[in-house]
Amino acid sequence: MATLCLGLATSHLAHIINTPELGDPKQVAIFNAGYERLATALERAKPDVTLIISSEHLNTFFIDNMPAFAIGMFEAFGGPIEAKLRAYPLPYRRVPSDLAFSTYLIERGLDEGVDWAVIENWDVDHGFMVPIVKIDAAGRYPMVPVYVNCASAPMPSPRRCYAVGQWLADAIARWDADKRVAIIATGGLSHSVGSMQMGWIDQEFDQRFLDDFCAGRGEALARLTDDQINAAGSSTGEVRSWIMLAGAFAGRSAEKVMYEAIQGFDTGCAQCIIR
Amino acid sequence: MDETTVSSVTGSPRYMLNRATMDLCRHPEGRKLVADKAAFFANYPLDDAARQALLEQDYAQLLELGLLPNLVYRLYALHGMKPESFAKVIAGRS
Repeated sequence: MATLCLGLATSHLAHIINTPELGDPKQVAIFNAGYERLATALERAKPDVTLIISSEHLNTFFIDNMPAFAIGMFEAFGGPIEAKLRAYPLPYRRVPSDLAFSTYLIERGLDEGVDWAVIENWDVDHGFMVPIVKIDAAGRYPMVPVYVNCASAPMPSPRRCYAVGQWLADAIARWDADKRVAIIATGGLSHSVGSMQMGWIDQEFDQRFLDDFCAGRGEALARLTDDQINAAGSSTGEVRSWIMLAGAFAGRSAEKVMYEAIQGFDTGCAQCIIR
Repeated sequence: MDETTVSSVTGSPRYMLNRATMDLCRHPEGRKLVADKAAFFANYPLDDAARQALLEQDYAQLLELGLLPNLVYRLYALHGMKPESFAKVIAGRS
């Protein structure tokens, strides 16, 4: 049976690659050093396949048809889509995936109450690609991208995100394959892209969230309400990916690698490792 | 979105505002088209408040009307503004 070997969580903002000069150099260095620690952790865990959970930013899905959760089912995907649309510092690249694993998750999910939307061709955006490039620059690890809607309300509730994370861990444990699986959650923490609060970072929310996350109090995160999350910023809903990870590692403590409220990036930036 | 599709659209109260903005932001010539937004949006059945807010770049009002913040940000950048200036501009208008 497969083994869940590592969980990583990180903010995914593109400033770290595109416009690092906007941030305080010391904070940017801490963020970059954190990425190096996540990369080392992934290398040491030796995963055969890695799930990467992120929101998108209206680049694949729009309000014509907005799934709560989606998963890529293919042998490879590409990104960032931004590099196909305009000049973009992060070059477009191909990322290997794992068709057998994603197919297993989809089939089991559709039979067990996790009704994935299925994507068979996907150019993901920076939410996936920035962490992939920073954590696996050489492209050694097959990645299965998992989407959670954090872009347009109504979004899946924290309670549902936590439950889907728990289901993922259970499904991985039942996968009849001698494989090691890692999960990377990306996004958050507090920020407000394009809204009246842009530039404001709710450090109190971030600290409470991180305290619960690192103490293994995922149930507390699952009890967060939409209003509580939205009050911490219009884009803070991206913490749903972290809550899914907390569900997958229910009750397990996490190591806080870093937290910096980087004003030039308009974001509370955080990284954690669950071993 | 072509003319036939636009005229046949039904949807939620916020849909058309978001649809029109997304189409402009995704248009390959979007940066040029913002010079005459009235012409670009003429074919979209927007209500008066939405049309006025789009033409006047009234970002606070666009948010009030239900334009998704990510699209507000994209629309701002499409006008040639530095994205990092958004927070100050919004703060100045609020």
